Order: sequence, then structure tokens, then C-alpha cells
Amino acid sequence: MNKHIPYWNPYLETLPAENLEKLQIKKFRRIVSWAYDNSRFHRTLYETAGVAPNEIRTMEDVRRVPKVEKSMMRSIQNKDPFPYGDALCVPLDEVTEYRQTSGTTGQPVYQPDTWQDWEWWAECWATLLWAQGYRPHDRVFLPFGYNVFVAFWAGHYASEKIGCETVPGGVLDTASRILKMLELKATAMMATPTYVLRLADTARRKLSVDPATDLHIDKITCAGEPGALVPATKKRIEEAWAAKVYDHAGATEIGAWGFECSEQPGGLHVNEAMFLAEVEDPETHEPVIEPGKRGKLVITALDRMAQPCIRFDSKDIVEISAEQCACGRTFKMFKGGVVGRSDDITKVKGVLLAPSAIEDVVRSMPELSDEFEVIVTKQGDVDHILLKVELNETVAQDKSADVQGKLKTELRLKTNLGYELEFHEYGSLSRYEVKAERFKDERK
Amino acid sequence: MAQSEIPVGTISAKVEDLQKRAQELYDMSEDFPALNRNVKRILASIKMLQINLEEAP
Repeated sequence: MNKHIPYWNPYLETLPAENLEKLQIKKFRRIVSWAYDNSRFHRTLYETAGVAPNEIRTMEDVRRVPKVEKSMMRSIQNKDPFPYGDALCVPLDEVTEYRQTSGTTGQPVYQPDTWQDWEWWAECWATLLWAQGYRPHDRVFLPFGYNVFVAFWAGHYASEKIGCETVPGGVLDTASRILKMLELKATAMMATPTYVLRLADTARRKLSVDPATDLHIDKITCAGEPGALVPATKKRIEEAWAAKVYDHAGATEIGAWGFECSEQPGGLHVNEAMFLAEVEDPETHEPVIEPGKRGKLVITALDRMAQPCIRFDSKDIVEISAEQCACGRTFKMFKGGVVGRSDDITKVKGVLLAPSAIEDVVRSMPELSDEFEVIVTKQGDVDHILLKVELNETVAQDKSADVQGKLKTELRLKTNLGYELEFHEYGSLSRYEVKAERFKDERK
Repeated sequence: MAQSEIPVGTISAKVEDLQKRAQELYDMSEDFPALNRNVKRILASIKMLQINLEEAP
């Protein structure tokens, strides 16, 4: 096998754009027909909307198909066929995999997959890992909980599929994971940006191990949070580990839909051979086609059969890039990756605020630790933002006034908002192993 | 190899042959769990190959 080929699938990843769209519409029609024929949930949805699956021919037809939201999936589960409800399109005997969402936004959604779906999950991940330089000679360490949350499970199987030596770092504590990576000279790792930073911090403080010089990790795939494409966070991780850091986007209900390639183009490629990604205005729901304008991602997994994901309202905010990546893929790119969530990007004092903008400011200041917390409240009729940060241990307490002034100025410049700042002792804010919950809007 | 030089039709025809053979084995496997379950996995992998080679209409 030629390990220098940059594409996992050189046929689909370089398909001319006009062929790609034709292929997507063909596959979209097929998955909608499949869902209509095999699930009461989808059939009712489409009949109510007057959609005839076999008449879908254009993107306008696609947009007439009703969207599905997470809350709808929650409402059908725990009914027959138990526990998935009537969006299930295969007999229960065909289901070989159970996973669920993280529960960050509420009751977890159950996700059934057949063996074929699981092959597909791993294939989508193999596409992104190959694009990020994973090859059979790599020894890949996965420091996650191997639990019901889907997290990096498909990454594990994709790593095997590529032929990498795949090390499950499951029920180990953070220090033990670092020592195992050290012992095995692991070359690659997958984790949330939050946890990658925590691993580095623990290595330095508790084990006197410098990840940049003592470990052999040369590439890190981040998922679960957008941090790997937040410039200051990416820089922090790359410096801490002396490794290339790549972003990846996906979701339990959808699959692994987006990835940063080894060119690090400052955005995510959409795997358009496996997904149809539409962008719409969050308020008018009109399609956003032109580059440079942000919108909400509505996405379809074109080949996922057991519990289809058709026009799923992801709540992710993205921006179509005008730039072509040097990697040669014909897939469209989202500049900056997932730049926020429509349920996160919120108006504070009349200004749109994305938590990732605060993250970029905090992580760009070496005087501050990796952790922070944002709490928005209402004080009378006025919105109030409290930002809790930690000074790094190496910074003298008498410098906090200087840091505070610098932080206030940067926050004002980047977010156009004023904040109450609270400085906490290093290590006192919450630490996370998977997804962090740093933004709390208590006005709701 | 450039995109246009990939012999997708030839590869797809061979995958179809594989699929037929695997399906024949599957149809013979009702009373042979080790055959049935392993061929089921092979069929899933073959389906993935077909997805990987699917052409636009």
C-alpha cells in the first residue's frame, strides 16, 4: 500500500463538485425513501409535509423535506421498538451497537447502529485520520472512558482499520494515561481539547514529564468541542505537546462529518461523499450559499441506515469558506470549523456573544490557566457577565491587577462587551475529562 | 493516479462479484452460526466498498 497517497478515498475525495452534488441528491433520495418505507416516525413526518421521496430531484426538493431536531428524537425513545422508538428502520435483531449522546444538552439520545452502520462510522473516521497523517506505523493512544457515550469509539475502530496499533486508554486515571503513553512511545492521540490541555498540565505538575520533549506524540485529533480551531487554544496545545493538532466535527446522531486535513487550512472539510451539509439562516431559515456568511448547519448522513439522520438541525454555526485548500479535496470547507452553537450564541446586552471568542482571549494570555467559566445573569433589567479565571502558578499575585487590565481590554476588543472578572486560585475551577461546561446562561 | 484515471467501473464489477459470492455463502449459512455471522460482517464490508465506489447518475 502506498502510504504517501494523501486521500483515504482518492476517488470520492477529489470528485468534481458537479458530480458530487448529483451523487448527494441520488443518495439523499435513497435515504429518505428508506426511512419512509421502514419507519413510522419518518413516514408520518413526510406525509404530513406532503413530501414524496421518489420525487426529490433538486436541492430545492431537498429543502422541502422536514428537519429533525434532537428533542424529537428524545420524545420517541423508550417506546417500541424499545428503547429506540419508531425511527428505527431495521429489526432489533440487526442492531449490533448501542451508543448515546453525551447528555450535555439534556436527556441523552440513544443511537442504534447495525454492523454495516458501524463500518460506515469507522470509514468516516478513517477518512479523517488518514487526512491527518495517521498511517499503519502509528501507535495511537485513546485516553477516554470507553463508555455508553460514543466519544472516540469510532476513532478506535478507524485506527484499527487503517492498521495503526491502537491502545485503549480506558479505565486509567490521567497520570496513568500519561505514563502509558510514555512507556509505549505512542505517536498519536485523540481527545477533547479540554482534556488534551489537562493531560499536559498533569504531566508537567504531577509527573515532571514535559509532553513536548518526553513524549513522542506528533499528532493529536481533537473532537467534542471546537477548541482545536480556536487559534489561541490550538497554539497552546501544539506548544505544550510539540505536535500537530487537528480538529474534527461530528455528533452521535450524525456521524463524523468534518475534518481538518494535514494542510491545517484553518477550517473543516465536510465529507460530502457521506454527508449533505446545508447552511441556513438561523432566523429566516433561508439557505446560505455565499461564502463569508454564517449560518446554522442542517445535515444528512447519506448512508446511515438503522436510525437515519435526515436534515438534522445540528445547532452548529458554520461559515462556508471562499478558499480552496491546498490538499486538493473538492469537498467544501467551513472556515474556522464550528464557530459556535445556535443555542450558545446568545445576545448579551444586545450583542451576540459566542463563548469561543472568550476562550480565544483567555487562552491567548500565558498568565492565565487553561480553565475559565462564564456565567450570564440578569441584574435588574441589565445583563451581567461574570468571567472566572485562574492565574497560572508562575505568575505572582501582585501582577493580577496588570493581568486584569489586559484581560478586560482584550475582551472588550474581541467581544465588544464588559465583564466582571474573578480571579481564582490555580486548580480551583472545575476540570473536565470529556466535554467542558464553561458557559452558563442563568437568565433562562 | 489522477481522479479520472481510477478504474471505478472495473473495481465495482469485481466488488459485485464478491458480493454475489458472499451472498451465496450467507444463503447457505442458516444452520452454521460461525459462517452466518462472519459472512454478515463480510457483507457489511462489501457494502462499504460499494458506498466508496458509488458513481453519480
